[in-house]
Amino acid sequence: MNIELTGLTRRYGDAHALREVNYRVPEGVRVLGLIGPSGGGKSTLLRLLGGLDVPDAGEIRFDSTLLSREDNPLRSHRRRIGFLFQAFNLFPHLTALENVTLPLREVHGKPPGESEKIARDCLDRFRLADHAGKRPAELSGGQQQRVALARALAHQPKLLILDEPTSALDPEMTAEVLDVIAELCREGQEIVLSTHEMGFARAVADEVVFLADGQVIEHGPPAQLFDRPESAAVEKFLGRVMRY
Amino acid sequence: MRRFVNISVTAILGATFCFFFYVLLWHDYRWEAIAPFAGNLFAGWGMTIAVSASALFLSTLIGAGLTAGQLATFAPARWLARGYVELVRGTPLLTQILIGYYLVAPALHWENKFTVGFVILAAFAGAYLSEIFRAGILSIPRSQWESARAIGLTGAQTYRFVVIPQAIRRVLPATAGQFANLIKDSSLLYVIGLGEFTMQARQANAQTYATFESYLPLAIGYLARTLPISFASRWMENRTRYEH
Repeated sequence: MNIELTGLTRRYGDAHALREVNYRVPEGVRVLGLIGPSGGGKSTLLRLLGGLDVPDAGEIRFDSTLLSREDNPLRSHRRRIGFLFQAFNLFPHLTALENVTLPLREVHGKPPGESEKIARDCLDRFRLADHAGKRPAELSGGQQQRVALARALAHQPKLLILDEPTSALDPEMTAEVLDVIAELCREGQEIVLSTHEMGFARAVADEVVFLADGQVIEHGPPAQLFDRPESAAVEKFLGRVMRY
Repeated sequence: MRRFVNISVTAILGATFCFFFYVLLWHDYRWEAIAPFAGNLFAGWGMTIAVSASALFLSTLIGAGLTAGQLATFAPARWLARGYVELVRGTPLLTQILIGYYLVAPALHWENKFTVGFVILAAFAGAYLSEIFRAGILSIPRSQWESARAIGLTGAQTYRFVVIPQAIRRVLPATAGQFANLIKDSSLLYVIGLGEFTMQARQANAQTYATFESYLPLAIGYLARTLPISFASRWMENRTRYEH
């Protein structure tokens, strides 16, 4: 994936969510993992990458083109991305199938028949074929997150962004969703994800970035970052989260 | 068994209440005195239905327009819509009917009492409806708007496919209440001499002094219009249910 951040800054009031982040994703990386303490800037960075928010200063280059700050060009950027939220965010008044067909039909201009076929294939792929006609309230958390994943992937996005995709799920459902994501990684889908599941980040990511206080403290291949961290902050963080 | 007890208790309490009411207001009913006015009362009832149905339709359009104004990004639209709502809600309907009929309508060369009547009613109810609609739209969680943005919907598409369908269900009970109010408020149109239900009852009473016999059918006639709205709203609420 081709992403470059220069001087990226985002403030909320007086608090810096990101402060002058400079980072370029190394050549050949397909899955990028963001780890670090809550409030460290992971979500903010993902929102900026996904075109859901604009920086106060600095810039993002995606495939060598500068991301605009205007809403219209940013919308075309959002259309080539798939974004998955922590809390699923499905549309509660629509069935699983309708949740997936809505963007295909209305955003990507596919005819209804084709939209439905694509959506059904996607739901099948995530083992949701039996649940296509159900509304989100009738599905378990894990099922909802897989529907959300089908919605984010149905238009074959260039990049899939996952913001802590399992932090609202219990362990069993977490495994069920992580299995699906790991499968996507193996298939070569380009993904940027933030997670608190260190084992998972290690297993699927080609490159891991440690974000804290709105800055990139350290980055590198997972084996290096997890086994031989250079900074004290990463070592301390890993020590805390791996303790139990 | 439980249901049987509930129904019995309700029936006994209700019957007791009705009996005391009946004893309290007991007098020699003279239904034959108002019999000649039955035709007029019936015509008045029809007029009330016609004027309130027209006002109901127009008030929904006005309410939707004012809501759009209040939520617009264009500040003058917001201020004007807001000002209109405050003006209408801050003055009594009776005053509006009198000013509308004796000052505004003549200036516009509007002479048809029916038209003037339902337009004034609609202008009044529209202000209240717009506040109900606005509350409904603002009650849709931020995550839904964000999710719609993330899949690439435009602002207008977000309203059409995500926000309005969910808001409609939430505003149904309050809207039904407002519609019932509108039907009852149409009784004030007797002051401009529109031959609607209340005016016919007042005339029957004035000529026969059969007060009870004139006004009891009035109450029942209004109930016969407002209860179906209440039931229809409940039915639609259940039909559009998407949780539990």
